[in-house]
Amino acid sequence: MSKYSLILSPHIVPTTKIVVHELCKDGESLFNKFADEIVKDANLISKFAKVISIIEHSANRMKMPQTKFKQLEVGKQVSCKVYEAKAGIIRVYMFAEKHTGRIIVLGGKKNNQDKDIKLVIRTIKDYYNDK
Amino acid sequence: MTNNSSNREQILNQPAYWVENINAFLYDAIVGYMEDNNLNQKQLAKHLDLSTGRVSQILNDGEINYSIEKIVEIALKVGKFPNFKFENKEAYLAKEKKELEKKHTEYQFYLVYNNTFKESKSKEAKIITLKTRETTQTLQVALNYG
Repeated sequence: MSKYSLILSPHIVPTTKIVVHELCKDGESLFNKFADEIVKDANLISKFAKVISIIEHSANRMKMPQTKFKQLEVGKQVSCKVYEAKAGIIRVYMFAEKHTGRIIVLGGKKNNQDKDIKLVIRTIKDYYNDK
Repeated sequence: MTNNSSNREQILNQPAYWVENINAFLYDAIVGYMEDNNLNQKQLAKHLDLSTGRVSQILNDGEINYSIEKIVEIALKVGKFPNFKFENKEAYLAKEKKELEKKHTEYQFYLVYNNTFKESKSKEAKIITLKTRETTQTLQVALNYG
């Protein structure tokens, strides 16, 4: 039994052209824990709402400035495209999978960006090894 | 699901979500117009009656920050009618919930047939690829004749 699974993201409007999922480990969405914390923070919920809107528009194949949504340079560490959506100090990391769509791995804050990106890459590798 | 639904509702209750929607639609329309008409930033600025510095700022960070009147004016100049509507919150959330459930059913269907496809791969089978209209998801249906 694989420890990873996907759910359709309940944080994203379900009508996007590219379907957006969340990555679950042992049945728990990794992103959801972050989302639960952020929505309780009065200083951050506004930026979180903004980043969700950005993810939705990118999943509708709309043009976005690099300052809001960009593909991360991850070299040959993983073969899929890895993306970062950002608003203020909020960062959300996701990758693209053929025939599936976008898969949100986790969310984080700017001050933990480097560690979070390493964790995202490690998690994606683990997800594919686990398949 | 209760927490997730409540998270979604809280997101939709943030003005920043809707402001970003307007930013995104306008940015997409401006860049699309610029590309379709092979305009550089200077030509676009002239067309929109904005300074080149302001156009450069819009294109770099995607933040519009104009009055409603100016946003409508820009939209019309890039060939778009800025049509928007107010929707009842409860009805909107109910519509999203229904759509999510529908998508969830489609996804479960996809997973079941994807597994059938894998199992049938070694057998003599005909594979039919079905593409849904609104998504990039592909349903691979394996028809076994054995």
